[in-house]
Formats: sequence, structure tokens, C-alpha cells
Amino acid sequence: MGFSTSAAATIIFIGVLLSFGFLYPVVEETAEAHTEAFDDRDDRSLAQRNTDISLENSTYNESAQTLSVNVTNTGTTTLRVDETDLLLDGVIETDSETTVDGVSDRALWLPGETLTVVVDDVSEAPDRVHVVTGPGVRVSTTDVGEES
Amino acid sequence: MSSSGITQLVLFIAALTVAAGVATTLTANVNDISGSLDSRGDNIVEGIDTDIEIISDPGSPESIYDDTEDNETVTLLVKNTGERTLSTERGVDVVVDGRYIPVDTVTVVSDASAWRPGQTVRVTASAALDPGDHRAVVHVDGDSAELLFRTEST
Repeated sequence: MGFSTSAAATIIFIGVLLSFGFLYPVVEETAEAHTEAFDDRDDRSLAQRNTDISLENSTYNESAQTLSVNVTNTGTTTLRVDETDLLLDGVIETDSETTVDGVSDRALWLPGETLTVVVDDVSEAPDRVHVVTGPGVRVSTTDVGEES
Repeated sequence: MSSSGITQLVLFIAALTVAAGVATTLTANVNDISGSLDSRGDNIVEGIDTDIEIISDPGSPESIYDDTEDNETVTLLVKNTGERTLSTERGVDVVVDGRYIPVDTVTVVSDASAWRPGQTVRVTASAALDPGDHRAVVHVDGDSAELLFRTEST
């Protein structure tokens, strides 16, 4: 009787050890992945709070049928030009030329620099100009200047 | 003496069998729980990493709601502000005024091939709306974004 009990206890003990061996790595990995995901979310939230842009002016040139929008990065985060969207009267513009501080085809838009977006073939001056950055910070204006 | 030895042997085998059964059931169950926990953890991480924003301009409601007769559509511009590349094929749901609206198309606006972080998609859904205030909610992979807009009578 005594030996049966010890043998049975040993088998169950091995079972418990194996179960713990299965469970522990999964729990540890999951906890680590969660911590990392929360850290990333905090970073994104911080970047969004540090992002700020100011719409300097938007000018419609009637004879050339172009609209030019100047936006300055007044925050402390570096923004990406290809992640910045321009909406004219709510319609997103995909075909535009961008320059940052006068240099064309720049991918990054650093704090303090001004992004100029020029859209061709605009048949009439839009009522609203809306600029959205990669982190989701946006600014809009209804003040569109006209020049002929 | 001999009968006592046989009894002990029977008890020994019975104890071993029961113990082996309990141990096997325990490890199998814990293994299943580990698998479930792993996928649940992955889902939660996906949810945390997913972040979207509706960037449509509510100041231009005509760009959001097209009231063409028999072809009324709601168009929402949704930006991926999270960490993950999202799927445009599945998992994009639109709810307007608490009513589920079937999504017609989800197209990436820029030249990008996928809905990567920072990229915007145009989501169109067919819905006939009355003039007045509306609330649109877009759900993608555990995250949602809301837009309040107003449609004018024409």
C-alpha cells in the first residue's frame, strides 16, 4: 500500500510539473507582448500630443488653376510627408507636389519646417482646406486667398 | 502470504492507472488552456496595436454623404494611426446611427499597396440617410473611430 501511494503521487507530481512547463512560457510571453503593446501605445499617444501643425496660408491661383497650401510643423515630432493628407472640400487630393522648405521630394518634415503642397487642375477655389498629419492631428481653414 | 502479494499488486496497478489518468487529463487540459491563452493574448495585442481615425471633414458634408437618387452612399476617409498594417479585405465594419451598413469598397487612397500605418483608405457604404445629424462609427480589428456629421436637405 505504501509503495502504491508513493508511485501514484510521483506520477501526479510529474503531471503537475509538465503542466506548469506548458503554461509558464505562454503566460510569460503573453505578459511580455502586452507590456510591449502598451508601451507602443503610450509612445504613439505621446507622439500625437507632441504633434502640432499650423496652416499658414492657402492660395488659389485662378489663371494657373493651382492651389498652394503652406503648413508649418509647430510641434516637436518629425512628420512624414507621404503620411500627410490634404482634403479640399472634404475630398482627398492624391495628385499633388510637395516641397519642404523649398526642397522637393523630401520624405521627412521636421519641426519648424514648412510644407508646401501644390495641387494642379483645381477648377475653382475650395471653401475648406483640411490638412491631416500621420499621427491624426488635423487643421482646417475656410480662408482661401485668391490671386489671378 | 501469496494472496496478500496479489492484493498488493492489484492495488499497485490500480493506483498507477488512476494516477496516470489524472496526470494525462491534467496535462492535456493545461496544454489546451495554454493554446487558448496564446491566441487570446495575440488578439489582445492586435487590438492594442490597432488605431484608426476618421479624417473626413464634417465641415464638407457633401463629401461624406452622396444623396444621388437610388445610389445613396456614405464615404469615410479612415487613417491607420496604429502600429500594424491592416487588411482592407475583411474586418472593416461601418455603423451609422446604430445601424450596420454593408461596406461596398475599401480602397487605399495613395499609391501604397497596403493599408500601412499612416496611410488612408476610402470606405464607401450604401445607406440612405434622412437630412439631419448622424453618427458614423468604423470598427477595424478591435478599434473603432467615430464621426459626427450632418446631412442637409437638398
